[in-house]
Amino acid sequence: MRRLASVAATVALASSALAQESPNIRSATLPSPGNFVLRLSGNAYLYDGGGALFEERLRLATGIIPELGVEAQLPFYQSDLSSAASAQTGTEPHAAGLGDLEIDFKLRILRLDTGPVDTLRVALLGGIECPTSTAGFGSSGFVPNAGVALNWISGRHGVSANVLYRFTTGKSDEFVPLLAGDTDADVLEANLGYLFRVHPAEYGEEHVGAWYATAELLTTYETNGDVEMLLTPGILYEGPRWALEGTVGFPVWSQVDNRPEVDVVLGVGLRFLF
Amino acid sequence: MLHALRAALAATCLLSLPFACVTPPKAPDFSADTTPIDAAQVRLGVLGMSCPKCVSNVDLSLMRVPGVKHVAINMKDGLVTVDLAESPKPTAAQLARAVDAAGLTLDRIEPVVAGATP
Repeated sequence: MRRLASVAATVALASSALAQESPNIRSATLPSPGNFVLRLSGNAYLYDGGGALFEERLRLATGIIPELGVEAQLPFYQSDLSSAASAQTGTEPHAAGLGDLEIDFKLRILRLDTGPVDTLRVALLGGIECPTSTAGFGSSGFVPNAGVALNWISGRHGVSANVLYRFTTGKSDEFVPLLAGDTDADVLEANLGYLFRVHPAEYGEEHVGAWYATAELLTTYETNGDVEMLLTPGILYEGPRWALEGTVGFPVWSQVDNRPEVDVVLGVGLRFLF
Repeated sequence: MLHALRAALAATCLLSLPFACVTPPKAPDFSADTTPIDAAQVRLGVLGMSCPKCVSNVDLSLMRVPGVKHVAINMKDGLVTVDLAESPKPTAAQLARAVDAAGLTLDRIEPVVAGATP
């Protein structure tokens, strides 16, 4: 009951979603210089064997020049762990605190617009996590990351993909190991997503919103040997100035020894363009 | 497990491969066209308006150009109709810069003639 209440609170309070982009995959799209995207997102990680971690994340992105953008994001965590998970992670069952502030840059290296709707974008990703965390929800060091993202849209179909490597720093005893990257191991993310525009089947002469069905395959590999692959279906509504998304992630492959195994991940999000 | 990871990486790389060989078509260059546009309304052919929010990017960007009064977007045909003020009149170069800043490609600019259909 308590878990359900917490999930409901996460869904109600948090919010997260953007352009025809997969909800949980880094994209090659960015706002124009002078435009901002504010994103509020919430994820509930329900662990196998009970307990949960709730993540609320605030992000603000803007364009610096047409092909270069920057995004700052700050997460907040609440843990509600089972006694087994608490013992495994060596932490208190109930804790709350800030995560690490992350500053990310995105350099678009390819923009190929081939039709009124059709486009292909590729961007290089680079960023750093700064040690702002409290209660062990992050590291005490600076954690750089680098990768590449791709978005391809053709008619009603969209594909998103990204590969990202996180060079984890800090000592393992400073982390609460609840998510991938919460140890001193490096992390490789390889994500692939598909979006289908459900409605409208064809855009009309009016500038209206659109509904999408999404499916993502989210893979994390850590250099300590942990691997997790989540299949995450979802829905996305995108209006002219805002977007709303909801996803449910299920592990299709999990070989995790250094943190509790995830059973289900629920995600919601809201984005605003201004 | 590593097989699954390799499969995910391979799928991502394979997906990217066809595009690595693509040479982007050259978009028309409007940067030298600095003559104020002598029309009350122009129609822009814009490529890459793949989603409602991408379109809002170009809407916001064009509205910052001095002399732009109103922007109407037709996603179906990739057309953006721009109402212009009496003064100042923007140039094609300014409109092209605004579209480029929105991350989209300007394909053409046409003055709208009353009674004509696009």
